Amino acid sequence: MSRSFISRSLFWLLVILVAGAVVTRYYAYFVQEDYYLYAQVPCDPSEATCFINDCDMSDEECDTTPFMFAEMSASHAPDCFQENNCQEFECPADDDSCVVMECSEDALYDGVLCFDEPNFFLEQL
Amino acid sequence: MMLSQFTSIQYCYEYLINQIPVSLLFYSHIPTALISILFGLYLLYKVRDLQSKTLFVVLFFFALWSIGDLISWFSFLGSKATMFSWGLLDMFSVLFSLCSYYFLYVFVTKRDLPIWQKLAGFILFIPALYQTYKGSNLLLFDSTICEAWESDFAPSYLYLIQSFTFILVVLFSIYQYRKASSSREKREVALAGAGVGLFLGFFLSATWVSNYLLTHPDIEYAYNYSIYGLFGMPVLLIFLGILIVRYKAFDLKIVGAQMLVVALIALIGSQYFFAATSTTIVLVSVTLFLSLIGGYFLVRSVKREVEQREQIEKLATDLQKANERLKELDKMKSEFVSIASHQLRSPITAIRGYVSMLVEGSYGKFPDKAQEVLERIGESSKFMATSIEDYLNVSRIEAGNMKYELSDFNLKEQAEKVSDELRQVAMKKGLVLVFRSDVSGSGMVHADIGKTRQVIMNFIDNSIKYTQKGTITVVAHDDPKQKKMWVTISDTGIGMSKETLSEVFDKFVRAKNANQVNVTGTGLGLFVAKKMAVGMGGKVWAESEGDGKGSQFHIEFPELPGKANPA
Repeated sequence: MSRSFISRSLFWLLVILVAGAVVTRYYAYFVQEDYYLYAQVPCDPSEATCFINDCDMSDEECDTTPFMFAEMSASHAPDCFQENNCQEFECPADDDSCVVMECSEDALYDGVLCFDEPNFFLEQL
Repeated sequence: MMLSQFTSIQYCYEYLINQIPVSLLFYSHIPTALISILFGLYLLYKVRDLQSKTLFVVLFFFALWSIGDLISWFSFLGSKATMFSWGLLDMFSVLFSLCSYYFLYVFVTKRDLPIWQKLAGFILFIPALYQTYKGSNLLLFDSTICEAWESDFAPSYLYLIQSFTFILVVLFSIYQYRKASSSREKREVALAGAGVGLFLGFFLSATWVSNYLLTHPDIEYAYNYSIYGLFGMPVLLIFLGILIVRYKAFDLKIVGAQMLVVALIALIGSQYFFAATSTTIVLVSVTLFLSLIGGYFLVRSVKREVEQREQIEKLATDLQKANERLKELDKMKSEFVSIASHQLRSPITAIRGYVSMLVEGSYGKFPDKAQEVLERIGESSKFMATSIEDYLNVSRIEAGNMKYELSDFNLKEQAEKVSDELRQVAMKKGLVLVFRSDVSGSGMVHADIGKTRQVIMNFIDNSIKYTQKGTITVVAHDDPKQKKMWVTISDTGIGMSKETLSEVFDKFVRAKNANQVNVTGTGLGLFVAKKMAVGMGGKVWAESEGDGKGSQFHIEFPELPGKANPA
């Protein structure tokens, strides 16, 4: 095999592979919606351990609405989930890909607290 | 329950504008992508060699990366668009990093990259390709921060490849710089290496900074720092511009004016990203329009001048080549004349010798008519011998083979002797040849005695030839203060015009009116005399007030110190 043949073959192989990767990703993301979405969803403190913003750490206007996180396949996610705008959300019973994450010690990060309803209202008083 | 903070697309848009000015995103991504792709296309259109092709590949993947990166910032376009564009970034980034080294190698060595290096590059590319193909470089789209989550492997691998390529480019540039033989080559390697190195260096440092900041949750918007990597491309383009304008890289006939106009238009055009009011937009548009018109005429005029200059340069080169060829031919001709003259000199010497003996009666007395014929044969053979000697001298001078045996001698005495020897010849023509001395110094010079006599003889002989009546005066004079001595030969002959004076010492040149007086001159005597005088450290020149007003020939030598010889 001549050098130019190998070079040309490598070049066209590269072109095909790159184009293939682009087309595959386009198909996967735009057509199949084969990826996961992660969003904040409403949380009922009486039914779950919710997150709540730690307003002591914020100088700006602070929202004290309880929330939790949910992760679900984009292909199954309702539009409100896609848009991070669900006012009511529940994982569909038959959808194993939908996972709801309640507040726990491991899940905490800066600026949020786990919502402790009795204490919260006491503090508000 | 109302979640007031969640307003979908509006939320992501507001999240973005809180994070970074949108105009900065446009300014950093679009002009660089546009300029690089336009430059690449222009280059490919003008020159289709391997250098241009590899550079085009770098610029093309960079432009794709730049556009993809911009879209990935615009998460308000939807999670699909963000995931798609972000998902391709690592692949494009690895490609343009590796191809940058490929381009530098081809640009510097003017050779294609060895196959093993291509295969190695391909193998390094496979992990990035595989991740993109499988989509494993992105974990999910986080709607709360409007960003994708990257896997741990993807940014680390990209950082590794960028670091590797950067080090490779630096080491390769240093090696090639030291290997370059000329200073021009060194400068070219330095500029290309610095351009590619800085291009990759900007990306590497930006990736490093944003990766580092991502590990610090207290630092907000770590990705903001990654956009500074984009400024590596204008730096690369500036270095390429210098290489094109100053070193004619890519064989592109682009002049500085063209590059400046393009840069100016790009700068003015980029003002649109900041133009907020209709007045500023109008002002930018008017400025852009005027710059386009002015730039067009400027480039056209400079281009025309450059073309003319190039034509002149080409003509000068052709002329130089023709001149060298002529010199070569002249040398060959001199060699031929030398060989031919040597072949002629032996028989003519024999002819002269026998004719002389016949004229002198060594073989008995001849009738008067035959005697006259013999004398003519003698004169003609003498002229022929002189001509042959001249040709030989010219050949020796031009070949640099003329030998001078320098010694101290009295120039005045030699001038007087030569004058005495030629007096008979002058008298035969009815001329008076007078010698006069006005020497107050030593009268001694350091030269080749035989050749000095030949120079004086050539000048006096020349005066005899071209003087029909009157006097030839030979004067030896000096100036001990200046330490110079001269022999001046003045005649009352045909004189010379200014035009003839300027070329009288050139080879084969004779005055226009010379043939009216003497038809036997070769036009070599004065040329040989001048070359000999100069070869001995002397100088000769001629003066004349014009045609028919006589001539003066001067020979000058440095006079040796000492007192005048009373003899």
